[in-house]
Amino acid sequence: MASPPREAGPAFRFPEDTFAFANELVSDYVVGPNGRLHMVPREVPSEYRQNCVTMARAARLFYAHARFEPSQPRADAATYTALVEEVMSRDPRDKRPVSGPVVIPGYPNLYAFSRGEERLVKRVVDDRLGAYFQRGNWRMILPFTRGHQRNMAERFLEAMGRAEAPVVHVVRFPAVDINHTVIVYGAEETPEEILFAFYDPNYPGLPRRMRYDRARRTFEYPESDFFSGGPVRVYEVYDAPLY
Amino acid sequence: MRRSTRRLLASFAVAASGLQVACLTGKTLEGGRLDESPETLHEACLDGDTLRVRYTAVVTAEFGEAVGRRERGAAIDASALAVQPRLPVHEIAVSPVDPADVMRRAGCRPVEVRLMAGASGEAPPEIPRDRARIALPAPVLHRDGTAAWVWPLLPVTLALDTVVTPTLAVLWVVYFPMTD
Repeated sequence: MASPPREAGPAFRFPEDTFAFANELVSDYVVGPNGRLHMVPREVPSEYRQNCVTMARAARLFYAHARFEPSQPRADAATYTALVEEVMSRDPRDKRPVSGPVVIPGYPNLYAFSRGEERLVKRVVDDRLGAYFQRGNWRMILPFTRGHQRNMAERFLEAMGRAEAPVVHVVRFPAVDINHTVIVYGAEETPEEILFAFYDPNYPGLPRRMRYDRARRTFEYPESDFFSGGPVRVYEVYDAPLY
Repeated sequence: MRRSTRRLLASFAVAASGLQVACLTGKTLEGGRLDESPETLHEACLDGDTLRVRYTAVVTAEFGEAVGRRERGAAIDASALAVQPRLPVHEIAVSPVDPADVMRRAGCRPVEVRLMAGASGEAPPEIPRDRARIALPAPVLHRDGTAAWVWPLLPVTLALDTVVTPTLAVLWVVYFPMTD
């Protein structure tokens, strides 16, 4: 049963609370003779890559710690840099409401801000090593039972009731065909399944949905450029000291 | 050895043994997951509020490859099927029944059952008041399983876990302070 909502402000809005630029893939992917996707070198190297963890973390930080004031005049690059650095220095495990949000003038939301100040935001947010040092990575080496995944689905539903935006690590370890991080922001329930809406840093502006099969107690990730779609394991990160 | 030290070591041993089923053993069990879904419904009857069905289930590995078929029987709480709005499928009580015994129950009245695939967007079923025709969401009959190849591997994975797990525990202590 969902917990009663608390004073947490408006729910995560898509695409307003997300980045307007994409986390790009290191490689291109083609379908091989076995029907599976294989990596091939990109013709044009990607400029902004391996940042899904960082971007999901940053979007969560902006959601919890930043307040956009479009009525205020725009600031210079140095001011915006300092403000983004301030947001990034906050604790990603904090949930709304937080005291002393960082006020970002001149833009209505993160989507517009990251489009208008793309180079600046990319530079400050960029942290390719961040994925390797996300504290919750240890969890993927342990097994995921069906019961664990059912608990995750219930937790996400409860989080939606509290206007939270869970950051979710999507894996199939020891298979490495998917190792991705997204933000879940919505859910639609039917007797057979739950469709979780999520923000995918690889697809700015594109709403995506991940399916939870109630009978199989399994999440299914949709087809992507790098993943042919299918069962995955998910767990929430940046939600507790060990994650 | 002091009592407190012995307790500490015992706690560590208990924790380590708990983790042993975690890594290799747990991942092996996870890799051998099977799902059973009804493929063909052969016959059904209604015994009071219990719907009894005999069906063939297709057994699939996780990515959908069919690995076998089984004859199955099940007894389902039919009153739960009639609840509107429909209950989540995992809240409908189902118990396994010997498929040979499904229709043998005295007083069990044959009924027509339509198996609903339960895919996204499928229209909710209409349950007639006389229950002459019952809509049964296929996911209600889902069963979990584990592939047979897993069991012979478990002694090996348990032995490996005994060696690997303490190493991982040490590495984890080192890793923790470096992480975000």
